Amino acid sequence: MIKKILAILFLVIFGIVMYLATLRGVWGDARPGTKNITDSTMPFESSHERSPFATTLSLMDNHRFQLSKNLADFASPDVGIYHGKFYSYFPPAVSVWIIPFYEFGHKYNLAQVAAYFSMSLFSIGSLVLIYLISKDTLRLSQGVSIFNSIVFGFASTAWSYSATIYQHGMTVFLLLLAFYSAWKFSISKRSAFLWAIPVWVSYGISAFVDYPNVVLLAPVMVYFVLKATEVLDRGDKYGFKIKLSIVFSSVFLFALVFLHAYYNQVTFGNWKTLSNILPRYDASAATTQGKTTQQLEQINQKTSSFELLSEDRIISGAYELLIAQDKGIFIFSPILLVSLLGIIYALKKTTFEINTLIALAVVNIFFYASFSDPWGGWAYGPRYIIPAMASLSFFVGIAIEHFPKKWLMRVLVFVLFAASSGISLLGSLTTNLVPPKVEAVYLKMKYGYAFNIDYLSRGQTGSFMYNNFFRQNWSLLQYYEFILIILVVLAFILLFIFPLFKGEKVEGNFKWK
Amino acid sequence: MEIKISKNFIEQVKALAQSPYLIDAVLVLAVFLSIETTILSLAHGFIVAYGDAESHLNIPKRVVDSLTPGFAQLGGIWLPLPHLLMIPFVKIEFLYRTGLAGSIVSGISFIVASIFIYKLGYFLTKNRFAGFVAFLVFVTNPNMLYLQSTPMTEPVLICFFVLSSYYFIRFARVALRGKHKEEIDVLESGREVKYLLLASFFGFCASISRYDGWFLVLVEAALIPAIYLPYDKYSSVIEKAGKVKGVLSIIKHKLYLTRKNFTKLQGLTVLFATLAFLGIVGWFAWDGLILGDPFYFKDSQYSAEVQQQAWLKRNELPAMHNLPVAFGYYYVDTMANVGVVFFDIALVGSGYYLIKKRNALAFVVSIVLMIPFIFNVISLFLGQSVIFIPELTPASYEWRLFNVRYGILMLPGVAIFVGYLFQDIKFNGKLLLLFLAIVQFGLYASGYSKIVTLADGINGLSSAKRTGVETWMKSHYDGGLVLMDDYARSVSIIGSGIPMQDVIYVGNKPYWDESMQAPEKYAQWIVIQQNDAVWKGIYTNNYLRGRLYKYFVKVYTSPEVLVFERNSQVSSALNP
Repeated sequence: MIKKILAILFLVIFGIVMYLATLRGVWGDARPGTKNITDSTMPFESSHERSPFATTLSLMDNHRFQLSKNLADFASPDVGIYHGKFYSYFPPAVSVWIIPFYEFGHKYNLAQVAAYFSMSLFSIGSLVLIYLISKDTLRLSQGVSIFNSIVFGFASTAWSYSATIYQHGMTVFLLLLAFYSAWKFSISKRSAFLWAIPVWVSYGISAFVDYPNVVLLAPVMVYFVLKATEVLDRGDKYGFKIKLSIVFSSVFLFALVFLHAYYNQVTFGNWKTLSNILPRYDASAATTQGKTTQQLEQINQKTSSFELLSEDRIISGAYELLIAQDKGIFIFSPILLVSLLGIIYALKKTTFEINTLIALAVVNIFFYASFSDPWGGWAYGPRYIIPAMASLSFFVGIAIEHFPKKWLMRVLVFVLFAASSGISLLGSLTTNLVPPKVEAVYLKMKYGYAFNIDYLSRGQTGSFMYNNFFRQNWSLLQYYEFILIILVVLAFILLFIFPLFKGEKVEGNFKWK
Repeated sequence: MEIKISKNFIEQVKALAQSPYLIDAVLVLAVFLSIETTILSLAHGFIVAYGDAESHLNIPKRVVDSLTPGFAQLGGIWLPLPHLLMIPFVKIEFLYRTGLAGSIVSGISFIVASIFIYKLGYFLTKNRFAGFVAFLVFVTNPNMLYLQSTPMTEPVLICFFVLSSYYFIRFARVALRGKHKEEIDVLESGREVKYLLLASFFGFCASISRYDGWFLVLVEAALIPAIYLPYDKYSSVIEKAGKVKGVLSIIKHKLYLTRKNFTKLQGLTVLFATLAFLGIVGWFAWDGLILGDPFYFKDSQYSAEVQQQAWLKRNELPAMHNLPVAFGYYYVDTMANVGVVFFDIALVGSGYYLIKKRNALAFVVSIVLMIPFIFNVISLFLGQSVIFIPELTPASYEWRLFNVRYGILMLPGVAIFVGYLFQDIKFNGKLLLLFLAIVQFGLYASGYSKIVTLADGINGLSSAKRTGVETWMKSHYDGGLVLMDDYARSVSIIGSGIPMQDVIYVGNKPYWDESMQAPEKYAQWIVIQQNDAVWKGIYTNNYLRGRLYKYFVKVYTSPEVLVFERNSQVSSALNP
């Protein structure tokens, strides 16, 4: 137990240090109009950051979700129009969550930094949950369990989105929390009800974070429901037993669903209307100039968000998300290639939990491979499949513990980890605004992480810590190398030193229930 | 909370799922779905959405109603059986004009195929419900349901493919008796020849339905010797002598067949081949005798191979001479046709079946059910056919949807493997498969998965190009012979209401040839489409164009089509 607490404590502290080291920020409130905040590498380089932040400002200043024209221009083009009023394209969870942190930071002239750091808390939470699932559910060794967390946190492009206010960190946290709670629910007797609550709540809140989460978390919910049912032989009858705790606790989900429907009804006039199907407002588009909001609303009408998904795109989308040079997960995080080996081993001794973790990755990749924009716009790596990165990181550990030639595997993993964390840190320290190849070729720009290397060599970063405390003495490259060395040393310790201690077998104890 | 269900009730449900009367439900459901979808297709005008659909109706129509009726109208490109089956129905004008003549043939094929898919599923698993699951996968496939409502030839091929496969697999099981653990009764063991003959007959039918059938009978013929190989003898020889020496010993001592088996094998192979290859030989003879070239189906200007040359010139035959791409195209096409979820389940099911059974019969079953896949990959690789599917076709191509329906031929195999997996997995697995099936239908219902065969018929290159002239002809045509290039589909005969007896097309000798020299000789109307045979033969020839304008008046002009009507004043002057 002490080991576990120490491990969690380590992950929390390490997470805080690492995310703070790369957090994008500037002194002050960073309101629209603040100099340079929307430049590349800076905290508001993308409308994906500006749009939820605009809602936050509107909620604090005007106590409403509707954006003023000034805020709409700031958040554009991720802005929708409804009845002549402007709204963020994104569901409100991120905007609401950062409010208290923004206000707290305001007291110390660090409003934006505090708001952004509040999103890193979810990533830190995810590190802890990955460790707990690896250790408790999958019964992996201590070192490997910590390593799995580090793989997801700092050797995948999830890092780039943990130092800013994208929704992905929150999504992964809710997904892992739902899974871990569902597993705890399945093994608990007395506290089953208590563990069922976070599952329903996570699922309910996830829709406030990002609408597709309803689909992405579905495998966990299937696992949860099936774990609550049991077929019993009762002599001349069969008994289908359902744990009452799952039924009673579902009230939390219904409450959240009702709240969501109410939010939609009040804001958009219909309980079924989602913000991302509102007619788009793009302040910079030539077609917008000289038109009233009513005219724009008519012109940019959409019919359904289902149109954005099509089976036709699966092959090209899967290629893009998995192996394309400009976005592929295995190009940006080669360490995750090892997870494929881990999946093969895991399937030999498959369990419901293993199948659920695989299903989470498959559903995530399948869903966004069908999406009309699998690239995620201008983004660093395949940001839409960050939840799959979390699922796959478990299988890296399984491969390490199960591969017959332990040391060879650990050396391979170490090399791949070093490369992956180098790529990951590069994005985190520079910019997420990386064009997909289709646009980059047309614009005669670089694409993939080659695009970010230029930023690194120019010393261009939005890192609050570096710009304010290290820039005087270190070049950005030195700062980059320093962080990378820390990660590589940590990986070395976890992969090669940890197994030498008593109780940490190199052979592993791969024996999940 | 606990809900209790009597075991007796569960047993009753299980008994119901194994009831011999399940086949009645199969029949009723298949007939209902067939009629229901055909009505829907008719109501939406989808029956003749494909360009080829109308051609498949016109061919049998010409056999019975034409300027020069007769079996020669069957032509030498498309194989004749589907058209022969349509003959009684196209005679009825309503069935011909609506396309229902073709729907009836396809619908009956669909019903027969679905019954035998049920029977094959049952035969392989000894579990009626597994057969029923296979049947459900087959009959609820929206692509199959759409195609069975059209005059396209795929449903006919699927029917004979399933029938031939079913009897061939039954033959194989009897022939392989003693080589695996399954016991068969005495009655069954005496039916070896009967099953082979039935497989051969239905293989023959398949071989005169579509060219895929040729590959079917070839593979089945090749499998017969493979079935009779004494595998048990090999393993003991190899075990004793080692791998290399063992194989050499088998060859040297001709251990690969016993004399008794060899005689039997000879007899069975000849028996099978005589009937099964009759269609292929007959087709060569037909093309040689009627069209003057035994390879007319391959070499004529109307053949698929010649059509592919046009794609090749445009560098738009991506799968030609590229095996991975050919494989990829047919793989994705199959997935799009059978449904992405069912496709994945079937992949798991086929692997599971092979690993679990690990016997010669499982090998035969897998090979037979995979025949459409192998044939289509080879066909794409050789450049004999082309498939464009949006998932893989480059955006730079003019068309990205063409011939996608070929993937439907794998549906019987997919259905069987899904059925097999369903019966063999535990209760939770069954629940999962049920959930996935619901997901599959959800994907169709939400529009995420398209009914690709219908999409191709409406928006793809396979769709019938309506020039609008048929609407005009419908209201202006008042009798007389119409000269047109039917191959170029300048006007829809079905849509225009022109009686088939009044059409002069390239297959009406001597009307066509004489009209190409003197257009006014027979025709009251001439329909010309840019670059079609009439355009090339008359319109681009100054002398003939002069005659055209002398005797005819241009009465309809569109960017693509011109219609000329006989100038009545000139006609009366010539024929006072």
